Amino acid sequence: MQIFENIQLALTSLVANKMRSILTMLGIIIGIGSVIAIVTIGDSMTGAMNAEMAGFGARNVTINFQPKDNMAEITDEDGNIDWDRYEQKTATSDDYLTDAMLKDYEARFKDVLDVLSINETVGSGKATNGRLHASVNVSGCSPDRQKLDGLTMLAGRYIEKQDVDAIRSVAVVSSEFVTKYFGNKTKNDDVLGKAFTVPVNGKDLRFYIIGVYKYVKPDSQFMMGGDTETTVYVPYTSAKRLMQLPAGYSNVTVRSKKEADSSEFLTNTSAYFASYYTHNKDFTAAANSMENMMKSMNKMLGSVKLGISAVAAISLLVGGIGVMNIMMVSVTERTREIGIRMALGAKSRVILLQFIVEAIIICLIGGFIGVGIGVALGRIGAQMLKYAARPSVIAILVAVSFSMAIGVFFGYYPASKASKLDPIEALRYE
Amino acid sequence: MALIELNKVVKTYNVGCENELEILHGIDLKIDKGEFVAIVGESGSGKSTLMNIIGALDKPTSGDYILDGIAVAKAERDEMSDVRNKKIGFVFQNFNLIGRTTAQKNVELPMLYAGAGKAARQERANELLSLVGMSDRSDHQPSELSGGQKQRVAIARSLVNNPAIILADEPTGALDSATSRNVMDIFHTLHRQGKTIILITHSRELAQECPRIVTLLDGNIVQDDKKAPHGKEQHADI
Repeated sequence: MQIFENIQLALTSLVANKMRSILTMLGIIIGIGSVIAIVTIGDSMTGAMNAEMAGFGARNVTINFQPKDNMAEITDEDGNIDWDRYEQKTATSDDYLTDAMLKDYEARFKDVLDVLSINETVGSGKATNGRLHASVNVSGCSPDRQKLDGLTMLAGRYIEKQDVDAIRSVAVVSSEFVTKYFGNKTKNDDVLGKAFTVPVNGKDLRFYIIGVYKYVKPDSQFMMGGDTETTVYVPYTSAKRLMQLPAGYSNVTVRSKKEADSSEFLTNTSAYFASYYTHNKDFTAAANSMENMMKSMNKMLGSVKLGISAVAAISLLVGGIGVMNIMMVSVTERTREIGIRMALGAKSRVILLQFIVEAIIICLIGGFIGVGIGVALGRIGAQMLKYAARPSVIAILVAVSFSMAIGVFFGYYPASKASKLDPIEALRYE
Repeated sequence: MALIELNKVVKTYNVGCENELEILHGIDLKIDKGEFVAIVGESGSGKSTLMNIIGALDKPTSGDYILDGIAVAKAERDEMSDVRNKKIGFVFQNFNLIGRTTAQKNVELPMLYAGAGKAARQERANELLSLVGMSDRSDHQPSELSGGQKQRVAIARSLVNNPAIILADEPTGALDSATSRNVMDIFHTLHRQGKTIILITHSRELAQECPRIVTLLDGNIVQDDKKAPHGKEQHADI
């Protein structure tokens, strides 16, 4: 019934002790502000990463050819590693994934399989054309890669089976590459058939352009690093010959059809390839999906966020104790006023409410300022890390209600002390 | 039936302790509606303790206290708050206005605690402030008022819930003689209008103005003089 009067009263007393009120609020402001800032940056990070990974294809399952590690064998009971026994193994063509494996896989999974793309990483380099230059990452691939990466052709065509079979030195480049390497007035159609050279790992590689795909600027720089490096696609057979690699494949990406169960697809694919390597003591093929990686990454980020939030919560607790302290001071200072109010007929709970409302107001104002500062810091932080800022509405609501709860919790004891004062003694207080 | 009735009221401090101290030794006192009573006594006579009991700020250790039909001696804390709020109007020596709060808001306060609405509070406060001649100062805070002005605001506040008694504890103690006269005149006016007023003072001179003087000495009533009522008219309550 007297809430409005209580709020007015609380504000009057806060204004009367401006400096003290601000210092008290500071604890709450820092606590709430840091929670909001951390949650905002964390959410922006997770959001950007998820968007990026989803862009890469969450349903993609990558099969990686890799050495089995003998860490378990060379590690003794105490956890010391005997590095002398660590073996660097060299794969022979018998060890790699073979055409037969892939053909059999395609046949067996044809109902659920959407894309099967072979990737051979060649490397990165800077192609120079007079004063112009473009950073590229040369990737050997099969025709399915266009679908996997979702490329839109602007001119020419993508790599086809005939290019792979004939081991042609042809390349599909990005529109960004055309602008950077040939100059920004060059039309995409004009570069078809032209050759360019790029030095990779000390070798000058020369390709003829057969197609240009539309360059899509990534949402963030998370995976890309500072320089915009675009991919040059070449037939994987050419890549293998250039790198002088033995036959067979080390990296294959498959994607299930939309309607298929993605986790079942991952399990089956993993089991299929692993079965070829049960008797190979040195190498194996491991399947993993973006979805899986995203899950574990999110989990990790989640626990980091939780850890930092716990630290922030401690600062909130400290802030709350500060509020309690200042409320105790306020009650003592206003003992006489409390006595007058009691003499005029204020019941205990009216006095209780008055001081709790005051504590809540301190915390709420602190909470609101904290949210403002937290969102601002979160935005700046996210911007510095080049993510789109996503202030969490839930975090803000939780923070504001939490600050109110702090007010009630830490305001209760001083308020209850005030409400239990003896009116005679309070009136006599100087 | 008397408005105020104290029967064998004893007040002892530190009951059961070594330094147990009996301040009031069985006070019997009856005050009727419309009386203007002065309670006089030297300091240490127990008049402050008696005032606290009459004002429902404290409870007697033993004995009965009936105020307007309510057994205050047996009341709970919240009931005593209600009694103070509705039955008693306090006027203190040091005014006891609440700081950083306008005269108007100070006067409204007991009504706020009684649960009255904003419009009713404002109307009543305006009415009483004009009665004590403080209408033009209603927006002033206590720090901007002189002693006499503060006491007039305090009197307005004491009347706001139309209490059964006005309990004035040395109301002129902090005022110069001219302002004291002014404040006493207000009490006489209220008395003529039918208010019951209890004036607690150590000043015999001030007490002489009152129709009835109760003298307290060492925790006992030693004298209770009643002058013949003269010129007393019954007026409508304010």
